[in-house]
Amino acid sequence: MKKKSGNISKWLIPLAAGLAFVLIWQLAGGAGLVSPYILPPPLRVAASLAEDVPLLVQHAAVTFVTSVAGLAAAVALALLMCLAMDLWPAFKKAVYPYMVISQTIPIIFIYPVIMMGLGFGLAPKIAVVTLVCFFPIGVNLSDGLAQTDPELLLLFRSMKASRWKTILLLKLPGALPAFFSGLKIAAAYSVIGAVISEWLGAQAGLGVYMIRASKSFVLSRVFAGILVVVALSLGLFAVVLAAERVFLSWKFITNHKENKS
Amino acid sequence: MKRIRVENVSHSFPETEVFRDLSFSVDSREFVSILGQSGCGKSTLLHVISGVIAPDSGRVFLDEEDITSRPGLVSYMPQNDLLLPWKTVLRNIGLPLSLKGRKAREAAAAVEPYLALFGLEGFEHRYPAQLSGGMRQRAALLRTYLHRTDIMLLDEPFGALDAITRERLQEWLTRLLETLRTTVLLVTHDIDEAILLSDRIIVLSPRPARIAEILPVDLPRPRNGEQKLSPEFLKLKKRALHALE
Repeated sequence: MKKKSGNISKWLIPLAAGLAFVLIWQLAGGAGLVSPYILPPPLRVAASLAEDVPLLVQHAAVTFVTSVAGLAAAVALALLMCLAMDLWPAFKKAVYPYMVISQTIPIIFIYPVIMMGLGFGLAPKIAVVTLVCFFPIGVNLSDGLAQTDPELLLLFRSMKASRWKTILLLKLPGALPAFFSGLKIAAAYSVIGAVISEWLGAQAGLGVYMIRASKSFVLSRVFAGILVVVALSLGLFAVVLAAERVFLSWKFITNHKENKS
Repeated sequence: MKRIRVENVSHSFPETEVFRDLSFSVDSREFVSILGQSGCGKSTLLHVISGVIAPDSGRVFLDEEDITSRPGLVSYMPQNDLLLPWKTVLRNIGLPLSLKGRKAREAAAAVEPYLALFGLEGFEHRYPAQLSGGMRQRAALLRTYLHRTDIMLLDEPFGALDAITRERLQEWLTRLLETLRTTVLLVTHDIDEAILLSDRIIVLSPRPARIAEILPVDLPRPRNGEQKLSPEFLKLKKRALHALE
């Protein structure tokens, strides 16, 4: 019983706080405290959202595909790089600093360069998402692999485990929690990455929708776009959480011990 | 059958000499304990015998075969149970078989007949975090046994357990070895444990370790905790304590 009420308050309190915030926002707009051209009241945002459903679905689909493709490419790239870095320490020394530097590049300025290389289609957008997502996944996975318990490595060595088996049975499963930490951050960032790339030049996507709305000063539509971006990001995040529950099921078992020696 | 012989083994870490010129042997199906204070290099000695580190000098033989710096030829159980938290007990125990290339189902089939003997029946599908310390230790011991059934090196296998569980497991191990007939070399700093389990005790001096004394233990078997109060037991304990100084 107690647990159930705990679960309700876990959802209820943030939900109530959010609703209260929206309510105050709406009332402030209604009372003329905030100009609807600066901050459109929630009801108007909701109206825009309802009006534009078909259009938003179209644009969101493009953004979604870009985000997921970029995220998947980032996972594949991080896995390859981290395995290579684990196998060849010299490679890690050579590459790791540039992995960090890759994250410091202002995408806005190199996007034209990416586009010159990859054309005007989805490819350069996916590349931007990959660039944004690679870092959190790569750094976490690489650290996870490096933090393998040295005693366990010694045990594997005492059993004459091959390098490949050590990676497959010990290092990778051991680094999986760290990998998922990175993937959660990346999943939350991926949609923003896609939107930014669309912002910088595209024919479709939520970034395009929002920039058009903003240029025609229909702020309620910009906010509707933001809501969809938030929903997409949360959706991807939730998928990663669910995957984590499946792959790390051993972490979520109740630590109930048997009182038998 | 299987006999370990250690010949003139010495090892140093940078700035510290761990042990010097150690020679001894463990006969087939014999239970030998190496008794020494904490930090006298007992674990390092097991690392050398198991082949995971190379000694500065000296050789290790398994029967007549030189196994110095050749891991995989004897079973080694580290101090902590080191079960993989993401694998079930069954998969953990089958790990040495998986590493030898056996399929998961074959490994599981090879583990199952031993579960009852090791008191793990009914717990094979649990995760290590769901087991008590004693059960985890027994699972680790079975994993060690399945790597090589004829020769085991045990590094303070009961060191992390509470006193009552430890004594129960010690008695259980003596009974188990009546059935399994394995050659065992155990490292411990617990004098009672060494006397209770061993046929012979090799007492090491503090660092750099040398053999201070070799004590034959001729207490009758099967042994149990009650023998700890017998005059013969206490006499051995006194000798061991004396040799440790």
